[in-house]
Amino acid sequence: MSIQTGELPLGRLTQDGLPRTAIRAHELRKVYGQGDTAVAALDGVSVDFGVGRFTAIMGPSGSGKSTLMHCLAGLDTPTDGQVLLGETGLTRLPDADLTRIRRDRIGFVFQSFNLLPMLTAKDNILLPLELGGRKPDQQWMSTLVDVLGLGDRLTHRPSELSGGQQQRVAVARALVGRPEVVFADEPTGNLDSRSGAEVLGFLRRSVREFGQTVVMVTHDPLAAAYADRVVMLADGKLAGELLEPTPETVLDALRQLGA
Amino acid sequence: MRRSILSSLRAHLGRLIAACLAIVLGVGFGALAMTAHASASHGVNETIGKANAGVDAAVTADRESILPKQVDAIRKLPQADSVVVDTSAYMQVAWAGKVRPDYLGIAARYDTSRIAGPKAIQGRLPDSTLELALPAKLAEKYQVGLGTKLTISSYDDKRWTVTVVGLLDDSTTVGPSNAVATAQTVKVFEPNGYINSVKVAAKPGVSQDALAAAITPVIGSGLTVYTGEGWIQHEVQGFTNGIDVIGGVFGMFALISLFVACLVIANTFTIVIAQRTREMALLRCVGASRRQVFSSVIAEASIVGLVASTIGVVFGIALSALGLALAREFDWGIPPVQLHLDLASIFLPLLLGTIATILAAVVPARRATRVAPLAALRPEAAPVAASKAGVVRLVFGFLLLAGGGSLLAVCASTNEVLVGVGGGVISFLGVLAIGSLLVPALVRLLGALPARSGGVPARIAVGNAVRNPKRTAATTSALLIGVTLISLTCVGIASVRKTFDATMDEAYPVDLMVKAYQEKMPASAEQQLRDIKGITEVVPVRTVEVKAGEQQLTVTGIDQTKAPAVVHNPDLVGQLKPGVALLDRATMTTLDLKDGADVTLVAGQSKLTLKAYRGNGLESFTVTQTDLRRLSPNAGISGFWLTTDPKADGPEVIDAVEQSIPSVKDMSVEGGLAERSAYTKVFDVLLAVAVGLLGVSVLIALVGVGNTLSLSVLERTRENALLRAMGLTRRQLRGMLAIESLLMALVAAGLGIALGLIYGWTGTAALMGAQTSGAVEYAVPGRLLITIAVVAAVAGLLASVLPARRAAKVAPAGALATE
Ligand SMILES: Nc1ncnc2c1ncn2[C@@H]1O[C@H](COP(=O)(O)OP(=O)(O)O)[C@@H](O)[C@H]1O
Ligand SMILES: [Mg+2]
Repeated sequence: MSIQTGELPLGRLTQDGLPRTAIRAHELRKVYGQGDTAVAALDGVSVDFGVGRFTAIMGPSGSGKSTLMHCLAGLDTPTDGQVLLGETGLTRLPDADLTRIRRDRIGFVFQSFNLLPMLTAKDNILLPLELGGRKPDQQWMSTLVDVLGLGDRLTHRPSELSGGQQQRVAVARALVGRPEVVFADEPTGNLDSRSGAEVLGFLRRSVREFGQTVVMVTHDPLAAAYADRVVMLADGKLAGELLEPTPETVLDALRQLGA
Repeated sequence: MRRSILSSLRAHLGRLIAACLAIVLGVGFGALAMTAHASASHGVNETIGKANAGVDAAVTADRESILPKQVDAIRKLPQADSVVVDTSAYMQVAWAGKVRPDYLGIAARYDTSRIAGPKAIQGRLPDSTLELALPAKLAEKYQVGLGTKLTISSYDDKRWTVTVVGLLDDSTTVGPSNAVATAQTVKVFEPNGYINSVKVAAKPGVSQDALAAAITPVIGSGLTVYTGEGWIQHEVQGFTNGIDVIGGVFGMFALISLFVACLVIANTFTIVIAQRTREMALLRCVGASRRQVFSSVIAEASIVGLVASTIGVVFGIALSALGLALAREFDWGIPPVQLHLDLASIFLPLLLGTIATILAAVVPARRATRVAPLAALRPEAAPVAASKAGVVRLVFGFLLLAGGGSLLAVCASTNEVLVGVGGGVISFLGVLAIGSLLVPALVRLLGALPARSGGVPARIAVGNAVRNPKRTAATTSALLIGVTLISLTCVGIASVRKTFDATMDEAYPVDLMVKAYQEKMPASAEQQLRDIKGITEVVPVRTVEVKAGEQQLTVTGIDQTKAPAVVHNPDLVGQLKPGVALLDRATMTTLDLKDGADVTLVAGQSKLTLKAYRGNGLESFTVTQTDLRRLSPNAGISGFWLTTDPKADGPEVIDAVEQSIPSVKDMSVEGGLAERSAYTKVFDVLLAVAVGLLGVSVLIALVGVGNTLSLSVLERTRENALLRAMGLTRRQLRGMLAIESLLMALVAAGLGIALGLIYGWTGTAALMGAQTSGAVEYAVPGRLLITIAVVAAVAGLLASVLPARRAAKVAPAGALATE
């Protein structure tokens, strides 16, 4: 198997020709609170996310999207159930191991407050690599900077960047270590529609051109339409999915959920 | 408004606790000082009042003894009822187990029917000749009981054997107190006894003033007459002057620590308010006026100040009660004092603490009023406190620094101590004012190394430490004050001491001179002295009796090759050569010699002419052993010159030397060691007290560092969560805060030590320059200063522990929350 520059180490398919799974949730339950006030944010969710695929998680507010993402990304521990990142089970791991996995194998783009205010854009991008003591791949780095149009912004601090630029820096940071999965939680929630479209375009390009795996939480049907697949959540349970979504099919599906 | 103040207090209680701690420490310290001072003064008043009960008038002599005929004149006054005379003899006592006798004051017993006097706590007071009552502590020290017989001798070697019949109550006296014998006995011991004072009790119906007025005309001039009350006041003053000075010093240190506490409080309020910007803005949105916002912050500060100050006062009084109880329980060489509370020592610290807190809150409260109502509606979280250093302030700071610095320099060279202190304070205020420029620059400088080699966490830590220059400066300035004061004290005391040492070496070039008068030293004497712990060098000296013209002289000779080992003045050592004699001033005068004049000595058949020079601190007539042999080839060893280990306990060494060589009956021990150890002790005590007291302010400052850190941690919750999400381990996060704290502590320590050196040296120059005509020695107490830096560093690390633990608890998912 030849690896091109920018190509992920894993192909999309296994040797048997079946789609590979980047991350998998099995019977995930997450309960907040105790006794009478207990809320099951996730109530038995099993779902697979394929390698080199762009998956959107959708659902009404409070349906458990963020909770699912936190559990998948090792930011939170589920009450019950399993998360497998490649071959690694995340649910029983101690904090130090989870930290290392987040650092080396997972990338994040958050809705807001993505960047550390005292670091330059470049330092922010390289942060996860430096924390792990890894050398950045210069060629990959310059590819990312070119594609994201950050060339003249690298020495700026976040306060000197627009919201869209900040989000693009966050995307570069998520991608620079070639993680197995990039998680994005409402990455366009705080952006105007043009900047939002740019960021979503980059995420899709990273999937198409570089074979990146992306899981994105959103409640915006337009954003979801950039994905290859949409997974619907309602009341902490899986409520169907769409392949090759368009804004219209997504809206339809959402309306059905609401009904 | 009141409800909002109370609920916001409750909500921010945790953040204010550290500020409260600073107030509690500062106020507690003040209350402790004041209570201890009040108790001590009160104790002295009571003790002296009791000791002088019944005295209606007292007469003292300024210089000479009061004459017996003056006493008789007072006795004859119809207004006088009881007249008692305070007279004593100064005798030698041979204690069992001591090689040579010791000195003891013996006071004459007087009629105590009207006027208070010594009381026996065991046995009785002496009523016949050759009976003695000893102070109880002294009796205990030499294990003397009732019935013990003691040999007393006078300076002209008359001897008596007396019996101990009683032990005196000396529980309230400090230092040595007198034994008591009957007036006749004292007269026998010391026929020309000196009368120190006369105390008089009035006949019934005669006032103290009338009695004093009657005494004044009958005694003639040269004596001072006091009324009973005036006398007690006079006596009390002698003691309380010292207590007041100590109290004043304590009070000054308490004020310093309160000032440091103020900085910590102001800093805390600034941060708390910065964090509550949205809350303040919301208050303004719903209609609160600027004035209401301002007074709500001030009200909050008053409550915090009052509560913390109350706790501080209780804490300070409890500590002083504990200290006094411990002092009574264990004998600390200070008289037992009961706890005495007066209103001032309760309310003054309380008031000062509360006012200080309110003052410290004024600037932050003004800042709170400037929050725009719109800030409540802006989406961004926790705005960072304003961080631009005011240009005016910087310019002002530089002016203060330059002005104060040059004033200090001028005063150091002209020995103007008080103005110099003013210059020092002004320049230090300048340093504090430019702190927001200086401190971050130093942090960056110091942080360069960890930032390069310590990876991202270290780089972020350095960045965090300089992110808010004003806050960093305020945090470090609290620590800076403490460290500067401690190091300036250490440097100042070390320099004064070194200067003293140099002058002492001139005045007393030999540590100890042991000398036998009529006898020769035994052969084992040198070894006996060498065996004493603390003695490093022993050089024998010989003496010969000679005649110089008509004068009879004792000439002392020392081997000039060995002299450098025991004579600490190199000039003297250099002068001492064959053909030269070193004379003290008195001998120069007696022989009527000028420096460099010839003097001819005759001993039996031998005759020798030498050049005479002034040489301070040696024997009266010192020559080389070579010359001494020319006068008397067989002169035996009559004494030794000793060098002692500077670290040894002086009085102990002197004691051991005095007790050595028991076969020699008449031996004297002289030299500079006694003086040297007396002032060494003074310096040690000064240093310990000052460092201890200033340590409190450092402690408060460290509370401030921890406080700032934990508030910054709160402020940076999302940043830290983000870092954790990005893969920063808990340990790295804790390390990051430790580096930040360490950087601040080290910069404060480094700057403080540098300033301490400058101030310590200039202070010593100003203080000592005049006395030593410019020969001031500058010391660098390296070990002490390094200790200060290490303590500051360790304390800085400790200060980061709690905030770091809180920071590490932040869930990584926290970064995703939008609030
Ligand atoms: N830390 C928490 N404590 C208690 N309940 C929580 C917590 N986080 C989320 N929840 C609850 O879990 C449910 C799902 O939340 P979330 O995953 O944030 O939903 P979504 O992201 O889809 O809006 C909601 O009912 C929410 O109130
Ligand atoms: Mg959500």
